[in-house]
Amino acid sequence: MAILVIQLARFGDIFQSWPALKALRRQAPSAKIHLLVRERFKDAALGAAEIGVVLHTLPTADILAPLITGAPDTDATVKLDQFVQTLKQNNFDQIINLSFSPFSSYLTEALAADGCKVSGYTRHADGYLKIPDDSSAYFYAQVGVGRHNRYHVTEIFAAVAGVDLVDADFSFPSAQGAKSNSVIIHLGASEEQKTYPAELWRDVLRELHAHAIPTILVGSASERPLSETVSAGLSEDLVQNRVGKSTLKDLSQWVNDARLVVGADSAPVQIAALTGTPVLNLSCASVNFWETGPMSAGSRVLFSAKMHEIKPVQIVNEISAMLAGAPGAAFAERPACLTTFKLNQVDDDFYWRMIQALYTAADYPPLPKNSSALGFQRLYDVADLAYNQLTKWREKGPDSASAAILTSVDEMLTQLPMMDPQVEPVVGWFQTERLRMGPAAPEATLARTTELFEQLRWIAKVYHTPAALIGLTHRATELARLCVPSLREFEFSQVNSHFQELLSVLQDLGRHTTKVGETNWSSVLRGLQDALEKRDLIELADTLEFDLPGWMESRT
Amino acid sequence: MSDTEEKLKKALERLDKTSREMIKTRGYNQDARSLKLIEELIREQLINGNTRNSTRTIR
Repeated sequence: MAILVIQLARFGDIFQSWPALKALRRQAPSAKIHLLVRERFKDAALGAAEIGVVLHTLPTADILAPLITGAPDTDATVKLDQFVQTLKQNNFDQIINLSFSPFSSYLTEALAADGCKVSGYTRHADGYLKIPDDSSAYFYAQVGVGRHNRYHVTEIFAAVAGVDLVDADFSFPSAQGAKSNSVIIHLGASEEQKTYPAELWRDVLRELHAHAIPTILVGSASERPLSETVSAGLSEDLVQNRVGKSTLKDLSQWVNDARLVVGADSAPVQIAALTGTPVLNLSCASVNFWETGPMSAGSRVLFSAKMHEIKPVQIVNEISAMLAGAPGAAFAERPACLTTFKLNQVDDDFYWRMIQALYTAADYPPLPKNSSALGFQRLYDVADLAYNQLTKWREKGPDSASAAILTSVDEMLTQLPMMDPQVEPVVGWFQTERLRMGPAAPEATLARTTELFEQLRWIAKVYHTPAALIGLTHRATELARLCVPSLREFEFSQVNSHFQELLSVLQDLGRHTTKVGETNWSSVLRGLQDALEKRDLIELADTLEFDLPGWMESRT
Repeated sequence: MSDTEEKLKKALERLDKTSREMIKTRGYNQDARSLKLIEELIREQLINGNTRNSTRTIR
């Protein structure tokens, strides 16, 4: 069996693909596994041979050379075709494309012969993007900076490859040896927004120097001037500046030997996941530490909206705490490699819970307090409108009025997340599922589109409160407010009639609404009935005062 | 803009025009795919292609 894994992104992504490759090897010991990376980033695949993975590189510069030297354009296409045909001779039974890019999707299609099993982006017979597997569809819909995914990219790569990871998949074959006392510091990052300012690094290094904590500065040659600025005047015995002086193999060994790695999301942090070295990750809003942050056990994250808002003293204190094995004040911690981050604050992210509801059948979360359901109401209206038009279309055939309405629906779906970002995960899921429909007969396309709009309508309905129910909701609040003071004074008889009406209103509401989060009208009703059976008037009052209003506030 | 970048941009314009015409007249076939492959390879160089960001305009 021949399997090709395509990873055409950068160093960090190649390191993050490593556990999936090891798991593939573990699950298919006799398979011939091939890995395709870019020529420029091939050093990140330095351990490939050690697990019997055949390494191929994409010679971008060579392929594009004719376009720069003025040779005919066809020279470039011929070179690319030759590359494809040579690689295709391996007769792959399975292609796993871990690069979520247009180029890789065309390449995957070109390399896949009939019968080849493909996961990851590829192309339909008409050239449109094809997303054959659910994990890649999840990536398309929910992954990226500014979104709310909390699955790590490493885990998503494994899911696309169809493998389950175990701790042993996180290892770096070329790195060996005992831990030293050093702290590795990567000063730079791939983008300016996620780079910690030089003057603040200088304060951090001076403080670590004062505490006699040995540090090793690492980074690329372009970061050399920065490293010289921040380490000027500090003892070389304590601050070793190795920036621009290492190969990736050296770096891997140093990370393996270190007690701790400090830096933004970058190659050293991803290497640390493979060597099991804890990381203090400096993170800000322009990256998503959930998906590309450290994976090694005991790692911690210091987060602020902007990188410069993280204070040097926070970094020094956290480093000291981590070296001492003491609790710190980090924003998030990773207790073990194959678990998720634990936030050191109240964790009730509506968006993430919504994503879990969409993809893992978890309950739909209640809307955050003081937020509006308007976006979902509009989403329901739009989905309902489209569903009705499509149903009409299926029964009576296409007409221009329906076509115009459906075009407007598409525009509204694009605009809704801008109006209310809370609907973004749902719209992202819906648009991706629509995109996944391949070329098919018009009837099949119409049927699937109708089905998807029906699902969208169902999801939006969870948060959709028809006008009639709003009146009942207000009445329930009013009755609850009338009842609570008397119940607390043990004067049930004074509010008996109000209470009976309240039970009746709650029964009505329970019949017409869908379960949302941990509580719903029916569960409030059950709570009241339980308290009533026990004749516990204080519990009755508590249920009304805390459960009922709290839930209702989340709906208004 | 560097000389190399300028040449790649011009090549991209030529290839894009050719592939559009080809897909319009003959549909998406092996030749069209070869052109799309080169186009996307160039595009990645021009925008210093970030895999995750590029997904947003993929179709």
